Amino acid sequence: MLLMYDVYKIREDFPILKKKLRGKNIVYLDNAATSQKPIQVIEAISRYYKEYNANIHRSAYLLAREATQIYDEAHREVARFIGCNEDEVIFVRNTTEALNLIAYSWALSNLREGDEIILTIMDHHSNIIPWYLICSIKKCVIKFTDITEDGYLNLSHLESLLSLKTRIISVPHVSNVLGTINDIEYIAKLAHEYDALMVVDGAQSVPHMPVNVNKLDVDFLAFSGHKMLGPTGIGVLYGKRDLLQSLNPFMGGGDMIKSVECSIGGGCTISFESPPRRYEAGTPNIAGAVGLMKAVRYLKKIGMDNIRRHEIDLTKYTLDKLSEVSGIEIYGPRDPTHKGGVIAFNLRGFEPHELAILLDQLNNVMVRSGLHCAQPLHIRLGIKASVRASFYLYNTKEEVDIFVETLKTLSRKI
Amino acid sequence: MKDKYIRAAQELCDVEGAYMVILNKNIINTAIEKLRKFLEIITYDDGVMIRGWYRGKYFSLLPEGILIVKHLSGWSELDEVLNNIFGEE
Repeated sequence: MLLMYDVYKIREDFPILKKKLRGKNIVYLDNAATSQKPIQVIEAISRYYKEYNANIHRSAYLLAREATQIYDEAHREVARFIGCNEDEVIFVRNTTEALNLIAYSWALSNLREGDEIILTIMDHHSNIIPWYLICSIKKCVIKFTDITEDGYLNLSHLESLLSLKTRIISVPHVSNVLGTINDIEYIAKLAHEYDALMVVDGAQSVPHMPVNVNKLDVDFLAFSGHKMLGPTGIGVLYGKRDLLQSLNPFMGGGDMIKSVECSIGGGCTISFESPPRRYEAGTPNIAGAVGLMKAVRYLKKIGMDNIRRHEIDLTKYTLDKLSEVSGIEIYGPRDPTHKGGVIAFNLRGFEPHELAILLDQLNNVMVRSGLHCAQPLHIRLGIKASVRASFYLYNTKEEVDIFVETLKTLSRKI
Repeated sequence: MKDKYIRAAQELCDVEGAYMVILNKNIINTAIEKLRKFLEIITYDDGVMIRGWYRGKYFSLLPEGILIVKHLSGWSELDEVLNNIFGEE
């Protein structure tokens, strides 16, 4: 497959990729956990603090107006990136907070005893625990959609779980373990046929492929800035305008109210700002928003289609190479066009943590080991834990070679 | 025992009560000598890995003094287990 960008040129933008450990280059394959940051993002954050730092939406002086403009422009940039309006983009800390916001703003007010939420057995804990907490309060029921033996979401099973009691379907766009890309457009249609909300955990999709919320017709989409070249501490919740306008805020504080009138000795009358400010109480992560905006611009410049193509190419190459490693067991779909750049596996004779540490120690190959915050999936797969390699736009086939050769060396020891 | 290691991670993503420590350099050779008596030893390149089950706990002593012990209830049990192996000093 023809690469649409020069990966070696891209790597020049990432200072940390030039770092050497133990006298060797690093091979960073833990991108599903967090991405590395290009110098453009690092400098944008630094420049913000050096040249524009002031609180937003508050003060009348020029510097504060400039900071406000930058922050609001970040909303617009993200909105254009996912194909929505700027008032449908709420800045939060991360995907987890975004999902909690839906749970506590929408679900807490709208769910009734006996209502049902459909999740999947491949979900990250951040798309399980908020719903579990809400269901504990509201006495609702969570139903988990199973997967097929080859790691796809079992859509027939999902359909069999639907009923008039279904109020929410919440699924990951891309599994953070199996890499499976779920058919969100189809599931959203199912959800809407039952008047249920369609919520999507986009943590592993938005950084890696074109995502358009209008095309997918989802009601909510959550994702994190730090997995898409941006800084930590900034994430996004997209919500359809009419839904966001109808909800109560998740948190109260400054910058999210129109007026607060309180009587001495009794009562307050409060009116809230319109979205997104209604959901961004207090001083937000302004520098984070600036960094995220720069990250989005960086990704757009390369092209999300190109990034996706690169990751398909790299995933295919890796899966082919891994088939030469004796004793390896790979989880999830094998067709690279049906999965993100995520490969979970185990190597016979090694505990996942042992393997991860040895990969690191021998050749600076950095992978995640453990449950990847997806314990129900590991139980479903019948395994205690796994090792996960995950790619991004800057990874190369040479890095894959180092990764696979190290695995081969280790496999020969057992 | 606590002065012999630093805590590297509170937990390894909640896997099987696994706790990871980095042994101080001056105790690594002692640890290798003690653990190799009852655990499997695997050599590769210029390193060794010693691992296996001992008294209901799973041990992995990895390069650079990384020691993972599984099936623990917490740090205090780790201290207890390591004290039993290395002895109080």
